[in-house]
Amino acid sequence: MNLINKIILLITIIFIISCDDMILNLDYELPFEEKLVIHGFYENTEQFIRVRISKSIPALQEPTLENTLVDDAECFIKFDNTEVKLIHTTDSYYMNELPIEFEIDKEYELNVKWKNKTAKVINRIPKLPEVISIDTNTVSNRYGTYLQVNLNVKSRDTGFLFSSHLFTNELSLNRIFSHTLLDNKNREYIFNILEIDYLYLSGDYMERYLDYEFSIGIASLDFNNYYSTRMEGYSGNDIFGNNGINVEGNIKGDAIGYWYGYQTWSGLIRDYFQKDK
Amino acid sequence: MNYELGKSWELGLAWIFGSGQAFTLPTSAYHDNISGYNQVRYNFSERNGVRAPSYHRLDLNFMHKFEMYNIPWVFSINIFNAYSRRNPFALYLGYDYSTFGEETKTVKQITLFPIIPTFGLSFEF
Repeated sequence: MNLINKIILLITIIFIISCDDMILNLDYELPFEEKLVIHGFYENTEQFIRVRISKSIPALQEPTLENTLVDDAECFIKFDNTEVKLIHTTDSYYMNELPIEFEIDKEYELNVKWKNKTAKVINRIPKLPEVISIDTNTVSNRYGTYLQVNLNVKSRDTGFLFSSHLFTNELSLNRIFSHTLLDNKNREYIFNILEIDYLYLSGDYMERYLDYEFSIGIASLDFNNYYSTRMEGYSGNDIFGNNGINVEGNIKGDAIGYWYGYQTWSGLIRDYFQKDK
Repeated sequence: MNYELGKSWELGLAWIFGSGQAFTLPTSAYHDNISGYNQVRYNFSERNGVRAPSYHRLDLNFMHKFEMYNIPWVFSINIFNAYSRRNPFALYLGYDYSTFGEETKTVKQITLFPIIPTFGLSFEF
């Protein structure tokens, strides 16, 4: 084989090698730290609450009910000088053995111990803002012109104020979750509770909505940390599939997750509506 | 490093080594089913908290000097990444699917450049 043939053979081999797949499976152990995963809410109208306590597993495994189950954790809710035990019921859900009268503006502490892991969170149900009045204004955007019904409130506490507000137009009647942050006490806020498309309006349009019952709710201000990151924590099947942002919560210790208190309240538009404004 | 292989041939050799690049990758998985849906969520490492395998490659360069038409010529063969090391450009969590549709999670690696041969011919005048 002369030199030219050898070079051609070498080039051919190299070209064939170059055609290999450039995405490969890596035999790589990702670092793993087992954590408790705690999810739960409580409200002032419920005496028995459910808290889900499970555990995280290595990222390369698929979480199931069985492999994330934690059924032997010690779980307590502490308030004043009282301690109420939560017991495992089913599927990693824990419930309090004795009824608890959850009071507004009182701190409740959730404690969880499992193996050598501990988790703790202190939370309270904030006070609802004072409803001063309800008025309307007109807004226009590229989708149309809408009548907005606004709740004028004065905060008595800081908190995450939310509502499932009604949005109506010719074709549909939708409920949209909306929220605002009350980050100062004793300050006035405007909160939209109802939107009506002008195309849908005729006659004394507000008359038919005066008996509309709106409802608002409030959770602690740090609920916004969870709410604004609740869609994170995903990893898709490609190079740009994750942005590395975790779902945030308020649990401290060897755990991830959240436990928030909230309250809701309902009222009639008629009772607060100021027609002339 | 450069070696002279006779009067007209020259061999050049360069080996490059670097510690692995840092990435942000999931370190654990869990269920978020408070809303009633069993959604799989991941808890990510700290920003750039996972180290990829190290980077290395060998580049070779053969040069042959000769004279033609009374001008000096250089013919060169360059081989980038001579042992075709699969150096990581990016890592991500991906899925493999079996013929029965079962999925398996793996760490996938994207490599940019395998072995790349190039040829050159230059002359001076």
